[in-house]
Amino acid sequence: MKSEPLEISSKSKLTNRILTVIFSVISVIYVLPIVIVIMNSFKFNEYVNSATFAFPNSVSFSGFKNYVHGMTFGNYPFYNSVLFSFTITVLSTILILLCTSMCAWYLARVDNLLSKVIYYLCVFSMVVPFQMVMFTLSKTADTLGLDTPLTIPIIYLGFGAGLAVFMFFGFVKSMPIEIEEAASIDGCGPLRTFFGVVLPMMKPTIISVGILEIMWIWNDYLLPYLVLDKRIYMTIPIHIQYLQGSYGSVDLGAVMALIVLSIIPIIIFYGICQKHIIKGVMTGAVKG
Amino acid sequence: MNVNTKTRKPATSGHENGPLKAYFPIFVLPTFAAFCIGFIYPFLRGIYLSFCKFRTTSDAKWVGFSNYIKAFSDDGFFHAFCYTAIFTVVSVIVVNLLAFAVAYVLTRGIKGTGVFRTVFFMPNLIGGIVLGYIWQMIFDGILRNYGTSIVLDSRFGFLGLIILMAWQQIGYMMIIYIAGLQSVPEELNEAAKIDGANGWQSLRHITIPTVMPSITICTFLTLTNSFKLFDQNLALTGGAPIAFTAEGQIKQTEMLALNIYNTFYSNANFRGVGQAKAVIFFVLVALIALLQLRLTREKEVQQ
Repeated sequence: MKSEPLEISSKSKLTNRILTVIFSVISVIYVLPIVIVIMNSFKFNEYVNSATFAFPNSVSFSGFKNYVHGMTFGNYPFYNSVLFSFTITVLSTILILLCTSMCAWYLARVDNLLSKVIYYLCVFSMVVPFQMVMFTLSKTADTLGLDTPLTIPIIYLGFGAGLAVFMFFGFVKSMPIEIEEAASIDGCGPLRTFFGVVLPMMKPTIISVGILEIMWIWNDYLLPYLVLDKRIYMTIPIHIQYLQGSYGSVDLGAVMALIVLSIIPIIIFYGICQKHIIKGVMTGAVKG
Repeated sequence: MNVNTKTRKPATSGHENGPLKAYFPIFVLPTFAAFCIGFIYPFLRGIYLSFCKFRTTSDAKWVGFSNYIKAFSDDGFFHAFCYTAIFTVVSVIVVNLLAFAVAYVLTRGIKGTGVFRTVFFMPNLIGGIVLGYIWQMIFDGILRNYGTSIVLDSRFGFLGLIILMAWQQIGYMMIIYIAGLQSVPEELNEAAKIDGANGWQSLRHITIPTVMPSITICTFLTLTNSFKLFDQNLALTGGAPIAFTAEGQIKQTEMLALNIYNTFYSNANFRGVGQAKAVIFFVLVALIALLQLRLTREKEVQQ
């Protein structure tokens, strides 16, 4: 009788070891697509098609030629797309975080009909798919001159406000009001109370919302494609779609090189804030 | 939480409301103005235009329900709806079963859990367009040996989209399931073991009921993600292959979102029909959201 728990634990230890082996194999298969892309980015174009899964050899190895060619390929410099993607993501995220956190605090603390109406409109907007507004939104952006990388953050703020306001609102409602009251008794106006007291307390939600917005905007294709003036401004997803979508003489090697270049910032970002990303996903999922 | 805010209400209106209320232009107006430009106006205008014939937004002419009638009698739209529905059902089942299985194993404390979690989540960060082209290259690399391609055979197009979706979404759902599984009290499992329950029995009667909220969240997340899928669909097959019928052509692997997009931008005379389709699409998505709201509310009442 006494040996039974021991037996079970040694049995489950064995199971766990087998599971580790199985999961190691699955993990290798899981990263394989990325490895294949990296491999192919070092092959000449014709070998990407004819020998997709082969390692580059002395004949097919192209060195960094694909990377060099990819930079200017398709009559549009790739570093421009990277620059625009980066600008749009950073500016939009900062604008959304600042404006919606202020907005949500006001809506949560000033309890009147107008606040309620705006809040419920925000919640409603989360349900609406982009296709519903894509045509009218792009025309509106065009009319108002919001079709450049420096002005498209306003569009992102408008279309993305719903989720951000919703998440900040939920957090403010769980925050004790006494601290804010103490601050205002000490003579702080609403602005000082917000920036000195409320905003620092919001830090965990700011990180969660920030990560959700960054992941959305960096990878977004259709909104910038319809809103931006494509002859002048492309983002990374638009650029890759533009190169691949134009069937015919696509230089696959160069496209693979660009895909590798577009994944590198994501991997770095993931490496730096993995913990926050996973936490952000959890809070975002539970609330959305 | 609700009780707390209620008891605090008098304090709110008595003290904080006064000075803050006047700050509406600073705190709310920037967001609200952008919200009107980026959502409210395009949304209302979109509903109006679905009853109009137009090429640009300025030459709209009221035509009543004729766009909706055209949308409902469009074979391509009907095909896209069925295709989306089937795809959604299959991907919800595949993604959730696999994500749950992975999460179940990764909460047993096996070696390398952290690495596995990192690896499984990673594809989720890559955008739909890039994902689509990565997998297109891989599938075509395999299918070329059999003299076909992912854009030539709709069966492979469907299978490819499911594999892509699973690769991307399993990691995300796994994170939510892990959080749910970690909240299962250890004592319950031990008590069950002492009572002689085997692994399967404790999974069925203890683990699954406790993680039910996570299952609901993940089911609806995959449901809406699959139903609204666009980027991956566009990049992987773009709707190809095309079948020609008596009335026109049907793109075999085109989902609803892509069908709406193509209606808008391939023929300017059909923009009104495209907008009507978009409204129908919105109603379907809203119905899913309402269903989710009702299910979660019911659970809260029961608890």
